[in-house]
Amino acid sequence: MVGAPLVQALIVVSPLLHDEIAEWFGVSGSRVVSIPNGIDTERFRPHPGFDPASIKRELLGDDGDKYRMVVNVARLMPQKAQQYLVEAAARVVATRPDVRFVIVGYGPLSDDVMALAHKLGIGDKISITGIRADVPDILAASDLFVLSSLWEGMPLSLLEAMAAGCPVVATD
Amino acid sequence: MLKDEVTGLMVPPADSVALAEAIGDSLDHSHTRQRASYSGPNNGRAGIQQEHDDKALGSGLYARAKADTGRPTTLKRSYGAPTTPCHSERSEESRPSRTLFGLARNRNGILKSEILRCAQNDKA
Repeated sequence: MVGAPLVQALIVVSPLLHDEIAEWFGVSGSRVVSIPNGIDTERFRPHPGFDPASIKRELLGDDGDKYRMVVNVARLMPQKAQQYLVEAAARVVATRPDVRFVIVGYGPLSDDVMALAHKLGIGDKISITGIRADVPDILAASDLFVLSSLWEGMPLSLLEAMAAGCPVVATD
Repeated sequence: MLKDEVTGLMVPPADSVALAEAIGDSLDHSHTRQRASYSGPNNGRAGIQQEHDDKALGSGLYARAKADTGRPTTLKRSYGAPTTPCHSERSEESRPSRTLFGLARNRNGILKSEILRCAQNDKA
C-alpha cells in the first residue's frame, strides 16, 4: 500500500486480525496494535423493576409473554446472513411452536429476509423491528441471542448480549 | 470472547441446520441458559466486564501505553501541545503507544474519560 510508510500504527479490534492486517497493509507487525471493542457494561445490566414480559408483549403482541424469544441484533446486509437464521428458524419452530424470532435492525435485505420467511411459512413467527433505542432491555428480555454472520471482527452486538446475561449462539 | 459450550454455543457460518440445532439445544436445556445467566458459574457477563468494559479497557490501555513508552509525559504531547516531536524523532517502538494516546484524544465517552482519569492520577 502506497501510504504504508506513513502509518504510525494500525489499530485492529481483535488479536486474530493482527497478522492479516499487517500483511494486507504492508506494515511491520510491530505497528499493529490490538485494542478490543469496549462497551458500557452498566447499560446492559437490567434495572430494578425491569419487566421482560412487557418487552415481549410489545414486540410479539398481546400474548407475547407466552413465547420464548430469540433475538438477532444486526443490520440486514449480506455479511450478517440472516437468511440462514430464517432457515434455522423454520426448523426450530416446526418442533417448538412457542418460539418467536425478532431481528432488531434495518438494512437493504429487510424485504428479502421477510420474503424468505413467508416462503418458508413462518412469516408470522419472525419480525423485524427496525432501529430500537431499548436494545439493552430487549436483550435482557430475550431467551436467546443469535448471531448468524458470515464473518466478524469483534461484534459489539455479541458483547452487548453477553453483558446483558443473555445466552448466545454465534457463528464461528 | 465467546467460549464454545462454556459461555455460549458456536456453529459454522452459512449452516442453517447446525444453527437450528444449536438454537434448539440452547432453548431446550436450561443448564445451557443458566451458564450464561448472571448467576451461572461461567456467565458471559463476567468475562465481558473484565475484558471489554470501557472503564477497564481505558485503564488497561493507559497502563499499556505508559509501560511501552516509559514516559507518561507523552500523553501531554499527544494532546497537541507545541512540544509534539516531529516524525523523525519518534522511535519505532513508541509509535503504537502514541496512537493509543491519540485514540484517547479522538474518542468520546467512557473510554476517553477513563484514560484521562488515569493520566490525572499519574500527574497528581
